[in-house]
Amino acid sequence: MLLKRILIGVAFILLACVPLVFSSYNVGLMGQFLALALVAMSISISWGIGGMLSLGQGLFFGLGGYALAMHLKLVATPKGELPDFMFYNGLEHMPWWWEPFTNPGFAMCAVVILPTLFAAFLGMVVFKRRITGVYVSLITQALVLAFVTLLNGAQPYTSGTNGITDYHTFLGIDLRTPEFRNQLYFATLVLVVLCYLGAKAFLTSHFGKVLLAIRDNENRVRFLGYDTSDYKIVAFAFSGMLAGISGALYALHKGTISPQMIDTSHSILFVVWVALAGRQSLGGAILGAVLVNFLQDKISTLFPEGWLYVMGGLFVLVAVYMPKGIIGTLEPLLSKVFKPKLSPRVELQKEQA
Amino acid sequence: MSPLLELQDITVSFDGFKALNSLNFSIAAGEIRMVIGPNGAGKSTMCDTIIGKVRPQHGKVLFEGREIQKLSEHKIVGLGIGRKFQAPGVLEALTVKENLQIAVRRNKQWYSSLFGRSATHEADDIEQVLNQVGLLEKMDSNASQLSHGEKQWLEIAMVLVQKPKLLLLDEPTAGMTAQETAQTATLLQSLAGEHSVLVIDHDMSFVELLAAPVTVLHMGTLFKQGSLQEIRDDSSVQEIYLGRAKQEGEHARA
Amino acid sequence: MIALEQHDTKLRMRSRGIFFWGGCRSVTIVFLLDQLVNGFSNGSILLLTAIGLALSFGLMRVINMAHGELLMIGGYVTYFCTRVMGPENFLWLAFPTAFVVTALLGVLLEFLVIRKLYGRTLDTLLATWGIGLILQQGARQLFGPTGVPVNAPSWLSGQWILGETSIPHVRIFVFILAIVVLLTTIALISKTRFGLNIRAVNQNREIASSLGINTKLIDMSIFAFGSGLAGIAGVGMALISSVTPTVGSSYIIGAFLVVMLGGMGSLWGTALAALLVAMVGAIASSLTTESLSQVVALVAVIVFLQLRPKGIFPQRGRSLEEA
Ligand SMILES: Nc1ncnc2c1ncn2[C@@H]1O[C@H](COP(=O)(O)OP(=O)(O)OP(=O)(O)O)[C@@H](O)[C@H]1O
Ligand SMILES: [Mg+2]
Repeated sequence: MLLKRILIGVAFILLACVPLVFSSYNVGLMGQFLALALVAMSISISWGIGGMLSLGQGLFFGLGGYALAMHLKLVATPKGELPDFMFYNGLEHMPWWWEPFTNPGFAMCAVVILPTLFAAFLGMVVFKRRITGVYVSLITQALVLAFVTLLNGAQPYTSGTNGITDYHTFLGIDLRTPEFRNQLYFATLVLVVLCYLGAKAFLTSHFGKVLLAIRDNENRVRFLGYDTSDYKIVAFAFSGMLAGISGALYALHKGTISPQMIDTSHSILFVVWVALAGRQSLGGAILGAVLVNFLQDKISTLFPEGWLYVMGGLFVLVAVYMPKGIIGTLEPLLSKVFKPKLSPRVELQKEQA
Repeated sequence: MSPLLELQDITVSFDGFKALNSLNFSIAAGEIRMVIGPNGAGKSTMCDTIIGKVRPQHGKVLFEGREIQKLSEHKIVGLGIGRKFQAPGVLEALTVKENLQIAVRRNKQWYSSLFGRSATHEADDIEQVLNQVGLLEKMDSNASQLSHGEKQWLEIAMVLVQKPKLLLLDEPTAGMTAQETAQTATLLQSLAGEHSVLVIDHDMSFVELLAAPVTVLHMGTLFKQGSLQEIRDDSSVQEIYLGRAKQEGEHARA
Repeated sequence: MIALEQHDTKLRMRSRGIFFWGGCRSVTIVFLLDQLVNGFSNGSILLLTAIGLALSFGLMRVINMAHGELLMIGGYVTYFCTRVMGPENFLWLAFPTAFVVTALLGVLLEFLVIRKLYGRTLDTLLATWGIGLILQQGARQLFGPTGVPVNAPSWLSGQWILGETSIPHVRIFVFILAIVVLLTTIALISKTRFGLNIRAVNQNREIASSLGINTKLIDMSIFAFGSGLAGIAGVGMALISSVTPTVGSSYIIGAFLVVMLGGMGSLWGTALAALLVAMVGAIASSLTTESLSQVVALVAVIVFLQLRPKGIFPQRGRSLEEA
């Protein structure tokens, strides 16, 4: 336990040193990966701990991302004018639901609240009806498909497949300067650490124990007098919230948000980051997100055609040979080395449908 | 005095097969009751119906005079009914202590679990019940590492620690040694008066030890009810156990 | 409908200008009929895709996300058959070849991956998704991203004129194909010795195996058969839309919803669900835009699952209970 804490502390300190060592470009990249680490963490909570595999996490990620990007786009648009894509698509007035996003406070609240509410609503619809396992996965996947279809179809309002682009200032700061890159990186890191600690507190509370118990034996917990669906809904909403924050941060770092970043294949890719590192471990989720994205960046610049093969192979590898992920595989070894008598970890394969 | 729990004319059918058929049953406050019956008699289904796992097609379940057959499971449990399942169902991902911590919580709402602190009496309650079932040393081991008998004890402890008014124990002694069985009987007897206990078991030696009134279920209906002595001497009960009364039973059903 | 041809969508969007929500067009009967016909043929492809999925899920608890790519491969096989046999007679070669090719791929897939993952549904889902990605990228590199056209033979290119509307013969053909495949599959499962063994394994694996049924072989043959059906579906699909590397993935999610809606493994349920989803999509698309109608259909399925979480014809049996 202690060892694990030290490792995680060291990892965060190393992450904090990134801007001192790397070029501005790489810092920006690292910042993106950290932003994505949050969505990985969100999946680790809902899937690894809660046993609810969402293949539609892109939905919440996208809600958060779009909420912030809408604000940024409005800031980038001269007063009295329409955002460029609306103009090109022949809109004459700003839709009413765009208006409030002029306010940065509103936008930032929306980043947190929209995905949380939506996830809670979806959770109610699904978990109250006792829909479980692979049904949940397929339904969330269908929903993210519906969401992406909507985004693509409603071009005048959402900029369609192009996504929202061309924004450069946030709270009056120019996003493109190297100084801001560094600041944004630190801000992201701080946010990730905060979310990590928050999630840890969430999971080590009594709530977290009940959630874990529900994953393994929902009926048993129900007959101990718990309304298990409430617990699942709350965990799912919390996971949605983290995904939304992740999306907003990503939109800031990347300078654009588009349907391709959240569609079904991306949503399932999020899951693989988590599965690769170890689905039950929050730190593992961060590791997985950073690792796979780093790989992706390197491989896709070297062999642009090859990345998809590697990615496909990764899915198979993780599912067939490493269901516990890197952390889950290494942890027993580590604890053997450092602490001969540690209670064995629970089997991971329990949460299967 | 009105009974603590009453089943009125309960019918449960699975795809047309009536697992319970117009069953009437009641248990008073503080009473211990044995329920026996051949395999498939509907004993587990009766418990399932009380606790809300199975919904009756017909009939009422009254607990303290209140209809509960439509309440959701956690609410039924919240009224003070605890259930031990036939198949051991401890939470294997957690330690023995954590299992009990989950069971002991009074306020089981999510916000209380998330923001509330555990009440001070909880730790004492857990310790007490661990003492009762003799699992104090194993407090911090993983539930998955317990032996079958120990898992049974843990499950009983999880029911006890909730301090329910009514305990439903489905074959609590399965997989226990003779000594453990005797201990269980003593434990259950000590509960009488304060709690009502409904015990299902096949093990005749356990039934003898408990020396409680016995209800015999057969083909989904109440077949006989009486003191242990009466039931033991009843030839029709012996027959259904030996399967000879099969035809008779079917007549009775039709 | 989830997998309506994207080309149509785009064209219609463009020609109708830009209004997404607003353009509540006047619904004429003719237009509605057109949509229903489209719905029927899309429902047919959806059903063809879903039958294979329903088999592997209903009988083996296997979620095969690469099923769509098998469909795509069936499409490319059809394309090659047009090259080999010419534009008139290729179908006779395409059906058996597509079936055999995809069934063999299914055998390979089962042997290399699925077999190792029985009982781990979600891992199977991830692994097969990965395989789908690899197959997609392979197709992209071999045949290019744009896709290849397959033209229906001339004996299928006519139309059946019905008053003011007309139904293209290909669409009727695809519809009949779906019905034939459905009935054949049902007959295979309920009437043959092989089907009896399948049902035995499905109900109780241990007992079946103690009775001398080779359960592994049964698993493999169900999977291979389901995969082969994807190939057949691919031929049908190739006749009504162009074959691209991603065409399979555009059908797969809808097909899974259909399987869920049908009751996870009930073939009649699957058929009814495919019809239902297609009709909802068709009616919605006559009221709004294509993309919105897809959303409507998806949401309708989820709402329906609220009413019946286990689908139209829920499958019973102890082996199915946990999922
Ligand atoms: N979920 C179910 N679906 C279909 N049939 C069921 C279901 N649960 C129980 N049954 C049937 O109902 C009958 C009564 O079952 P029950 O488990 O209540 O018997 P029991 O008296 O507890 O038997 P045992 O002594 O074996 O535990 C049995 O024939 C059983 O097969
Ligand atoms: Mg029983």
